[in-house]
Amino acid sequence: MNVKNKIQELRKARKVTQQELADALSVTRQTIISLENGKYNASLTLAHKAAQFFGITIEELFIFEEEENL
Amino acid sequence: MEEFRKKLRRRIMLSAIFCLSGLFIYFALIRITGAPEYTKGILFGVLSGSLTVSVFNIFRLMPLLQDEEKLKKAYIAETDERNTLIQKESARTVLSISIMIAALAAIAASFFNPVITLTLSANIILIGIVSIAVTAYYNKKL
Repeated sequence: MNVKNKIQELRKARKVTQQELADALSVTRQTIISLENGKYNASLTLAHKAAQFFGITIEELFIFEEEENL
Repeated sequence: MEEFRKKLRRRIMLSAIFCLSGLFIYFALIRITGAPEYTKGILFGVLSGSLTVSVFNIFRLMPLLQDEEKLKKAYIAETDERNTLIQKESARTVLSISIMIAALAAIAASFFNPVITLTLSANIILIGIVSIAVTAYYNKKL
């Protein structure tokens, strides 16, 4: 299953820096960069915190894509 | 954050206890056992290495307790889930590579010295047993 997210899109729309978001979620800036680049998938706890920060649901923030050819 | 502060204080305390007990054990071993020069050298090497790490730890952690901003940064760096994952993955990879290197070294040593081969093989078997025990523990715990 592939997971994409709208973190970068929402962060830029709200004019929040990566460092500010990192501080709000209690993670390092590198984690935010990896999340935005799709290199790292957030845990349920971090996904929940991020969704709360943007005031949306986890399903709205993260897009779960079923892999084909299974 | 208060829990983390307590954790750091505990670490500083443990490092200090480790330094003092390490020195005490070193001198006690040298005096009581009358260890040969080679063993004394090994003991001194282990002691000085451990002391350096412990003292470095104490000097690294002490300023964090005085500065709230630094403390928060250290807390985030330590609890960051990506960092934790990197550490876990690294530990697993290092373990596999170490076992492979030890196995290769055991094979190479078998051409020259059977004692080294047996020591390395025993080391690999011990690591295997510990790995199985630790996996079983986490299987039950999680």
